[in-house]
Amino acid sequence: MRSVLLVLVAAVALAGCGGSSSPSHRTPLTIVVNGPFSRSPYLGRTIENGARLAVQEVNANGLRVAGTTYELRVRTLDTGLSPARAVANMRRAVGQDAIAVVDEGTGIDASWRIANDAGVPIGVVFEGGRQIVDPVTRPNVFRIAPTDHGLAFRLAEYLIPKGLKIALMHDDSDYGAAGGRALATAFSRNRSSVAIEETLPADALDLGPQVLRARRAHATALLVWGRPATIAAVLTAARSAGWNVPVFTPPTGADPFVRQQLADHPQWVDGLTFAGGRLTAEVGTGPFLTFEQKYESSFGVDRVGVKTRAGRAVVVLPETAMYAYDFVNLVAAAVLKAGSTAPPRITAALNEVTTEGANGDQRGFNRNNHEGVVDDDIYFARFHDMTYAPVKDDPLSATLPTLPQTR
Amino acid sequence: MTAFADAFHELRIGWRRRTTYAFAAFAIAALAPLAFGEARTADLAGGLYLACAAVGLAFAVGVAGLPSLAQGAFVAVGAVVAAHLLAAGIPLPLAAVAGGLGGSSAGGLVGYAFARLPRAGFAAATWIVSWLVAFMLQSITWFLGGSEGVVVGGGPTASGHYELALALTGLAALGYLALARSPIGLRLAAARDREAAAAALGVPVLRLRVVAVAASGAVAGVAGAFAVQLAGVGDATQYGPFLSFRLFVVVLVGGALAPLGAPAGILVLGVLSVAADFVGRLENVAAARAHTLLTAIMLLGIVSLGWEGIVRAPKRRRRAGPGSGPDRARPATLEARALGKAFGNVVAAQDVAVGIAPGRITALVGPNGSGKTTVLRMLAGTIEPDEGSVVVAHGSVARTLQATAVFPTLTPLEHVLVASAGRRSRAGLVRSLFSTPQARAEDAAYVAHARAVLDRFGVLHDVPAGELPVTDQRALMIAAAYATGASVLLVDEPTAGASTVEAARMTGLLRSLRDEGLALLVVEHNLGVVRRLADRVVVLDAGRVIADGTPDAVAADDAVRAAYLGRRSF
Amino acid sequence: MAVALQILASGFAAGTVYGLVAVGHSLVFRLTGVVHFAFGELIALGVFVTLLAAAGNEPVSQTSVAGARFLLALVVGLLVTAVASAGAYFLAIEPYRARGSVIGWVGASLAVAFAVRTLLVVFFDRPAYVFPDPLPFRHVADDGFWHVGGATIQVRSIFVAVAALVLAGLGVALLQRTRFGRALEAIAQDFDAAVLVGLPVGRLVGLAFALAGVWAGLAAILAAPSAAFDVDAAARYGLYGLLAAAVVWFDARRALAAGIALGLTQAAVTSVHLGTLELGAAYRDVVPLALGLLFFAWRARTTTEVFE
Repeated sequence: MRSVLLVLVAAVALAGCGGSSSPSHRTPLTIVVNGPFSRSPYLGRTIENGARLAVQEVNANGLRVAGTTYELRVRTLDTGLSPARAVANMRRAVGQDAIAVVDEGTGIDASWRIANDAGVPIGVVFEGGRQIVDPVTRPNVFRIAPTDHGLAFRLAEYLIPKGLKIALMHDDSDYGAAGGRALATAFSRNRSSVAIEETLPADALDLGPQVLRARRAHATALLVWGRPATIAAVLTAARSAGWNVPVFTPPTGADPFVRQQLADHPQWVDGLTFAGGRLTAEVGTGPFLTFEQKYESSFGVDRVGVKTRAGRAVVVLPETAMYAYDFVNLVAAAVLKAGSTAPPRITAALNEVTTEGANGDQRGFNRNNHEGVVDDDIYFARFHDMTYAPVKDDPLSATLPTLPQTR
Repeated sequence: MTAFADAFHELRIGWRRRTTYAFAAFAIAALAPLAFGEARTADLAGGLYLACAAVGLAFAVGVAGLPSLAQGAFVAVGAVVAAHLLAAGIPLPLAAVAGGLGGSSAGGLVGYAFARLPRAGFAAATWIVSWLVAFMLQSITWFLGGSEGVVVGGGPTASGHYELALALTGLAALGYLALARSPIGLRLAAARDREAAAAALGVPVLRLRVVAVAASGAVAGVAGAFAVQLAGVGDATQYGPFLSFRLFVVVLVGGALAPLGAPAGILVLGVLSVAADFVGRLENVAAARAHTLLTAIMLLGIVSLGWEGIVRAPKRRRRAGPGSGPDRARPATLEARALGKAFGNVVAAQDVAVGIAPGRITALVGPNGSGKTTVLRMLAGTIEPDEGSVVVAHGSVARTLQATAVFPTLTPLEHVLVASAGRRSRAGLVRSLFSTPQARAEDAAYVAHARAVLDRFGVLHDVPAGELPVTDQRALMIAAAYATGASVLLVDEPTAGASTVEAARMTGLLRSLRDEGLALLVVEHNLGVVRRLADRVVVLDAGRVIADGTPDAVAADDAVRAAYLGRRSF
Repeated sequence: MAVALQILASGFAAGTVYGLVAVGHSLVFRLTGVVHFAFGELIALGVFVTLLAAAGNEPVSQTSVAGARFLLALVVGLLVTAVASAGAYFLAIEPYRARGSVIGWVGASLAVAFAVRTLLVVFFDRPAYVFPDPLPFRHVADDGFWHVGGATIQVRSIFVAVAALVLAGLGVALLQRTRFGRALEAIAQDFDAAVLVGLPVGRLVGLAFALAGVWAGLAAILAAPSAAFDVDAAARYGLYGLLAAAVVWFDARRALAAGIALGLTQAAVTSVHLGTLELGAAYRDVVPLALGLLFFAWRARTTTEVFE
């Protein structure tokens, strides 16, 4: 019996604690990063680093509101790609008095309400599903990431004129299912371009039968909307069967994991084309290269782990980190504009501020639009020798420079 | 009105310090939402729903002794059912009931399929069931929307859920207590200790095990239904084998034999989760993974202490009272004709005829290997004869086992209650669960009857049977067989290894049973006892009956002499 | 026709590995009455330690792993598996088995399983891994693949099947022809009698655990380069092996066949399609497990005499 009492007391004591006081004289403000650290470690890390970079800069400049100097700090919570955990994390974030949440997007449909009840703004920086963002019904949800809708339409716009018979493949992850829906809408007027539609099991690592089925349907191109593991698996299955069909993907094709999986067969990566938000602005490559330099000096170079044929190490360009960086900067700007650190005021002020994004574009929201990346800003890049370059047969992409990706 | 007064009175009598502690703990726990914020309260509520499911599991693991590793799957069934109903607008209480029904159906199915297996096999089967359900949830998007999950909106606040969960856990613990004490629980405990002996006492082992697993599934289903509403989204990844493992850990850590053991285990798990958060932050490892690791290590440590867990099993006290106990057994005859049985090439019995009449003791004797035990098992109905028939005219048959097979953890009183449980009419699942006044009255009457039987057989009432001397255990076995209300008793070697005094006690007991009008068959090696005790002797040799008559006649029979002494008659 | 060939090739390759794991499960059960819930995770441990020793944490390419290094890595990996398996037996399983506490060893072996699994996931957190292939299959046929009548058959899969069968044969020879094998048989017949007779039962059983781990681990490592895998995939060998063993109630002679049947079922579910009707890869785990469980349940209800 005594042991039970001891355990009870210990539980209560430990449950109560969990907050620490800041050693500095500045009042802390928490920004929570809700990401898939345990299941998609690269993605989680890059979002976290982007947020931290912005926080470093804001703290260096000082965030003064109504006479008090505040210090931003980042707390990370792991979703493990589980919607239920994402919901629990959102509760925890609100409980920790977070002023904003940078979210990868898993489980937002279930968790946004919890943040909304407390007035906390959420910045989605990866998932692009259409229903996630709605300024009217979900006033606290913002997004800085290419939308599925935009990506799907751009892909359709790019591929259909080529006269290809496309196999639309998506995996059954959160991300893939949303993408599948967007693709279905984008290709709805041009069913003749679609050879077959397939759902790929997200956890299966051998997709031979599905690829075989696409081949049998006489597809001349594969559009694979899924997490990096799925893309790698499709490439492996197709190329190992001797099928050199062109493969197109959303931004996940650029995830280093794809190249890591295929390090054994670099020639299988050649020709892989992905759509993504452009990393450079009309003003040129300057802002992005500056951002990349800042990122690398804080967090080191992100190596893919593969080498080009010439033997140079390939590095990752921080794309999603940019979006997280931009959102945190917008939040800081909103705090200053609102003159308050109360989340509801910050949320309202987010509709009124703009900042210069990491890539040089102006980023901002307004009452009717909570999308930070315009559909027109989506470009295409093709892999060759483990690095990618913008394609030449698309009007926007043709104008973009190739960014160096080796060290 | 008197029913309430009676119940209240019983509560007053049965109250102990432990009960005060339990009530105090619940009262304090109910105030928790005042101290903690929304997030923590939601976490605690989730933990309590887990505790509730664990209490359900504790019944299957502790009382029934079944290592069920599918509790997570039953929680999943409840969650799936509830998620769909809630999405369709059905209110939470109905959805929870539906979840419970789903869970109990799943549990019943699993029990029906696998309860025949020995425990290792049951563990393996339920483990695979857990994995199968996890795969189904992930692959078949209809169940829980695959990776996206099914959004479940609305419902009570976190505090509301917390109080609900607390109440539910308390109810589950009460239900556990009621069922564990009831004849159902006792018989399951007997089957857990010694399955063959329990079956010999007429315990429907398989059926009760199915009930146990179904009951644990029902609790899991209800808990899962409420929990999915709390989580706000039905997420397939939350219901994998790890959940089954966690529930198992909670039951082991807390103590499977105590109703509040599981909640105590949850507390420990909660402490662990906070520790894991801390460790995770130190090592920059995602907290979830640190949690799993720590849980696993903790279980290894705990199990090494012997699985009694933190909370001890409560002492069981039973009240005797007036009322009609079981009816007297009616006299019956057993006629066996032309019995034959072969195991492969070995003929164990051939053309064996035995007649057992009421008020008589028939002895079955023969050298080792003559087939006595096989004949006994056929007479008892344990095995089917290849040829011949066994007819019992109005009455049932009970048998004691050759080895001393008492249930080591049950007291003699409980032994007799297990045996007499088959004659009760007010001890079904629902009545036991709700501890109705009628059930309690019948309980008291049967306890009084049991005490009387034990006094008659000279056995202590409340000491665990494993601690009794061997002859007392033997006497207890006969007492239990007697308490089943069988009219025909088959007693296997009652005086084996007994001293003269002890043998005399046995023969005295058997004589008194005969005088009461029972029909007795005694298998005996001790020919002196046979001469003093038996009215009739049947001699077996190599599976055949070689003599059948009064002790004197048989003793003079040449064939019998030859069989025993190995000499031709002269 | 093409589909049938594909099913046979991939199903047989996977099935022989399942069968070897099933034989390991059967051996353990016959010796100790314990179901080795941590078997799959210990196999995964062997696979990943070998990977770590061979290629570090870098992505794997042909140029990065030489033959000698791989051999060394293999030895290290198998050694770790052997030690971990024997350790699991002595520290976690034997204390509770000796007490006759079923709940005890069930809990203990599950705890070992999850502890090992979590440890692996902490170190190997990528969604999938590529295993180096020391044997030059990529130089055979078309980059390691035969194209036969519309079907693509990985040359490796034939190798894996043959290698696993050879391993099974060696294992049988070991059990039947050596003194060690006969001692194990004696222990399986009657544990207590073996103790009385003076056999060093503890050591022998520990050695048997270690060998079961090494055998199955070797098969898994041979199979690993065939496709991308992660901790879950490696540990799943244990699950399928357990199902195959349970269905034949841990009879080592039939366990191999049961494993192969399971592998073929799985391959069939993934590949077969009749017109538009098909199950597809989403059901590659669900259907074999469901069918296996149904079969197990049927046997459990009808043949109780067999169970001891």
